[in-house]
Amino acid sequence: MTTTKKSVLTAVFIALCVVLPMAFHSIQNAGSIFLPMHIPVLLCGLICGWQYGFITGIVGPVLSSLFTGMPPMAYLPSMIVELSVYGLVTGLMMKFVHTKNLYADLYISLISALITGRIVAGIARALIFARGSYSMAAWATSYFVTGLPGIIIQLAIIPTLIFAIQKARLIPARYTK
Amino acid sequence: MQLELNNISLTYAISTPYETKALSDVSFSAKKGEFIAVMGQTGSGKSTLLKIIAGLEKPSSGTVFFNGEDINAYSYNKAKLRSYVGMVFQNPEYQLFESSVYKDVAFGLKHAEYTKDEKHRRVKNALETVGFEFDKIKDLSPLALSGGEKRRVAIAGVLAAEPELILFDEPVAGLDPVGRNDFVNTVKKLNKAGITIIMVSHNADAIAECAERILIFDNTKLIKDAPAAKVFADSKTLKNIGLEVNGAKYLADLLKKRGMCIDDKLYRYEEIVKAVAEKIKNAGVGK
Amino acid sequence: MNRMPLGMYMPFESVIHSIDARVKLVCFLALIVSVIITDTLVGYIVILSTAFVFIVLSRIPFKIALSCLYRLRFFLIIIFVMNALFFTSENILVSWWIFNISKEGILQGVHVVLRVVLVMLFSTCLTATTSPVELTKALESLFRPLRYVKIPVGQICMIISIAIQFIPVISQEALLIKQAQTARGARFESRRLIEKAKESLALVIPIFLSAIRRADELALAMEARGYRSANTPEKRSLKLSLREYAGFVVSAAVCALQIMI
Repeated sequence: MTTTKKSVLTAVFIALCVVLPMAFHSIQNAGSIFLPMHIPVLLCGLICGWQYGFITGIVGPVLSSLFTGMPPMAYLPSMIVELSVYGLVTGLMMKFVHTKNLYADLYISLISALITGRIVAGIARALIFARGSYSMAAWATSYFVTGLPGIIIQLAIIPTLIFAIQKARLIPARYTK
Repeated sequence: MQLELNNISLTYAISTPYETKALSDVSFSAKKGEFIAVMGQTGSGKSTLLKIIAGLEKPSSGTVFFNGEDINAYSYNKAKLRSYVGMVFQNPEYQLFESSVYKDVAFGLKHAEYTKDEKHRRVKNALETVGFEFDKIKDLSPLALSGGEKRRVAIAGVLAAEPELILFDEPVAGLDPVGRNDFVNTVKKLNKAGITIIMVSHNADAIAECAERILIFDNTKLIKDAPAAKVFADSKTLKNIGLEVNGAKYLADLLKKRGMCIDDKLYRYEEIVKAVAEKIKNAGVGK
Repeated sequence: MNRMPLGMYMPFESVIHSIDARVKLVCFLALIVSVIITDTLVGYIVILSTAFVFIVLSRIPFKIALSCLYRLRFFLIIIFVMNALFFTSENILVSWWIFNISKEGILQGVHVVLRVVLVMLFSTCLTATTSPVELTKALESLFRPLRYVKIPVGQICMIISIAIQFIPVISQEALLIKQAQTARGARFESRRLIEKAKESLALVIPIFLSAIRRADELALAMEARGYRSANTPEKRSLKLSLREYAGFVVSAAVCALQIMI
């Protein structure tokens, strides 16, 4: 893929970070479970690479906050950290992991990104953003427990998405049979 | 009356700086089995009209009655409406997403209480109506098909619900003449089977071949509601709104200017060809 | 989700609207820093009045400025309560189970809430008076020195500009897709997780596919016109007038004041 295409794709993924939460907002409860802003960031890292994924993770939430007020600016810093790590790690993993099986590549990249992202964001929050506030225990439970359905859904949706995009011949297939 | 629209108006984003009027005081009714075409410039409100009939948008004022019931009444079950009124959007190939054609066409039936056999029958019927061989197409991935095939799959998806009224928004946009003819034949077949059709289109040729009645919109208002023959006989009104008559009628008008007069009531391709052939034969005989 | 206005931007004409975007950004940063280091009563009074003055000068209706705070009301209540109830310190006033209410905790809660409110007020001021395109250009200008550390500032800002232009387009498309799938009988009401995921695919896949298709077409169009890279800098001269100087001075003064008291 040319740089131009990767750049424009990244722009589109950033736009999706703004649009998807709105689309899901009207469906009950979907917003907090689906974490719709995470999906374009993860896809960008998987498809375009770590630099582009990283940028999407930073710009996406900022633009979304500016345009739609979701997430509220107060949540922004930790979201930026978390999402940029997602984009970064998925990109790096896809670069170095080649198991000849697309599903395996995707799952390894996704799981490592989702875990790393949450850990780094948690550390950042504890050290910088919400220093001295409520205890680690409260954070840990709220974050991982309520986040679990979202993780599962993302793991289910994203590989299907990648396959669909490849089938529609919009991105080059990773492994040609 | 199967469908009744009374004084429908729709304004988007009321009392914001982005307020836009989409429809102004539109009223008309349709009997079961009619074939109505809707013409008008882009932005004149045609797509919005369809969405209001399908219950996807709520009018700012006015009522819509389907089979005698007010579809925007609090007690009306919109989900039920979906099985009676089907809508095929513009470029419907972009709605496809399932892993096989069968699953995509069956998508709309998921929430209805049909047996597995009944679902199978409907999907098979729908795919065959749009011209596919069921066994060849059912397991293919819809995303890997050609544009024209994708469109037919999308239409099949709407047909599977076996609606009484089908709304089409620009169904032939982007199709080559062969595709267009195939569509016209399919939709005529559906209409003959008793399904009411309301079709929005810019393509006068397609409209001429299937519609009996035409609604013309200009700038959010319904300005003409007349039989197709009358509408195509009046090329001046059409031109004023930026529309044109169909190719066959255009030819007839040109011939009239050169001295060969054909019955003004004719506008369809076959009829005009026959009439012109008659004239030429008679002229030859005369000599 | 119908017609999207450009974020919070309100195209009026005011003193603040006409200040160069780059100056506004720098002042904004200085003011945010001030907010973080403010911790005395006098300090808060000063900075709150500064925010008030800026909002008045920018001719943003008060209703709108306060509406963002209103939207955040639950969040503000929660962080106040979290701090008031869980902050660990020696001066515990009331203690019950895992809750510890202390004077420090309550004060901390007040601090955090005030800070969030101030940041929101200044952000609203900035975003309402500067269009997203202006902001992006300003960012590109300010970050240009980063080019020397091999960071492709031009390319990043081009991506941001394109993203901003795509938002209304993709938003419209998403609405259409939602209506089309609903018209075919899709329902998004399941409570069970797996079902919800499957139902959402009917929205997610078409929205992504159509968006990526647009990206494809745009990229092809750009390449066909000979586009190669966005890293050629566009030099824009900085016109400093009284307004800009005033902005600088005020922000610097507030910042300095907070450092001192």
